[in-house]
Amino acid sequence: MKKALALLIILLSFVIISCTSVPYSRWSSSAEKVVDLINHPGEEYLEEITSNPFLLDGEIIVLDSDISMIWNNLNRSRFSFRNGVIRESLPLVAEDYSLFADTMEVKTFFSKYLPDDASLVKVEADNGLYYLILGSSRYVFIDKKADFDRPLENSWFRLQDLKNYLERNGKKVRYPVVYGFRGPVK
Amino acid sequence: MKKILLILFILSSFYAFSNELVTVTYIDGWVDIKDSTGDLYEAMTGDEVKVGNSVITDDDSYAELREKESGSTYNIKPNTVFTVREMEVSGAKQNVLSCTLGEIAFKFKRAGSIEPLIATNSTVAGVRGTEFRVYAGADGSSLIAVRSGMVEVESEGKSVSLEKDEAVEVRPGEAPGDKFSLKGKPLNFQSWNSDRKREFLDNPAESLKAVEKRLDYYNSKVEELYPIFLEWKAQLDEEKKEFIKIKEEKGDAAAAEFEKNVIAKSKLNAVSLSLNVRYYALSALSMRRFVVGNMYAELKTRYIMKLDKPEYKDFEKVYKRLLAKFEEISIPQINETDI
Repeated sequence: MKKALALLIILLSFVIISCTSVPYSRWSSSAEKVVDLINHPGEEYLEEITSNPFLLDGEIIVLDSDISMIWNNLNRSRFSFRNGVIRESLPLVAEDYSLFADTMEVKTFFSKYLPDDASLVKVEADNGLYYLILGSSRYVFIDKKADFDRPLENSWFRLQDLKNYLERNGKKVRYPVVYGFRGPVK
Repeated sequence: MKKILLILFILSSFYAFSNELVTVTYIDGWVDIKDSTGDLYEAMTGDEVKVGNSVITDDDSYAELREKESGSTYNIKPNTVFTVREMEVSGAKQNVLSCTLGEIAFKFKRAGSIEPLIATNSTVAGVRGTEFRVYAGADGSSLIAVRSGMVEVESEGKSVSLEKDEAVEVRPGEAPGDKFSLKGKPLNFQSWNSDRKREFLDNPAESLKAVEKRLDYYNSKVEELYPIFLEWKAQLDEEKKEFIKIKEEKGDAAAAEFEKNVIAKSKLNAVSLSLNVRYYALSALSMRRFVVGNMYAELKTRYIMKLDKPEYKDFEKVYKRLLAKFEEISIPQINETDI
């Protein structure tokens, strides 16, 4: 009886814990993968999974060189979601555009450039609240030897890299495409 | 949105655009074309670049365009945004070849027709049988360097004539600087643009103020021309009613004469004005997207861990002011396909 009660308590505890926000590092969701990548010096890989056009706060970024510069600068600024937790990861709705900027341009970006399955991820960290817009996944190649999941190349364009990768015994994984970043909001 | 539909209706009722301007003749790397509906697709050799289209090159890509009739060529260098626009100048429709960012080498051949205007974020240039380069920097500055022929560079009501081996730099919102000789001075876009970027990072708020001045110019042209367009549009509506009345009372011949002598003039004025309103609004959008957007992204991501620094706060103040004016004046003339 005591054993059954202890088991029940453990199970209940597990259910309660899993319903609350936990540090991103414990998550296995696709949003967690992106947060993890931003928190590591992996800007060159973030470029691979960033959509063009990309939304930075209220700015629609359309040049690849600017997208590269954004991730580069964030890395050089030693930006990370400090003790970040994913508070929400919900399907994106049209009205969410005002969370980025209440302008016709951002409203149009939401209606024109985001996929139907896009989600709005709210990351709460010691250094503020941040929004990410994530969409359907893209295949990237992960280097097993790296200290974190490192996508190597986009499979659609670099077949030679795929071959090289297979030779190195890596693995193919899916990362969500990053469509937008806003923050810190507060 | 209503304004846009009104303008588009008038344009479509009067102009039959040929739209066919230049062809892509060579591509190295990945080059995009953004069409007038806002769709982005990979450029291929043989693609036509029409009025309203933009050609966008990447870090390591390059494109050559050729005018079908004259054989004039435009070499679009890496990291460049090139757009073909159209405006009304002295009663005639004229193409405006716009270099918003990056570097383009133009080589014009005399073909007897009107040569286009060349625009950057800080200047407009008229050309005559010329070979020259245009640099458009990250801070909205431009540099025009002539290898042969003549280029007339205009900004803020002042102009400078450039001849062989001469160049001039134009800062946004300022008149052209002093022209200088290119002899013994090899120009390099990357190093020139790096200097511009360094200057911006040294004093971001002041650099953005200069851009704001140029955007104010575009906004002021929209504010100036749009009410006049509405007046002509109202007059045109009245004349259409009059046309129906004349047709009923005096017959087809009298109505046709009225249309030819009266309505045609009003239509021409309305079309010219609407074309130019769009030209200035789209120029503002271009500058806002490629210059202001780049400046914001650069500064925000550099200062993200120290957003309370005065350098960032000062920049942010100008940024918000500039956007408020853009939203109020130019955005109503822009539609979703432009975004």
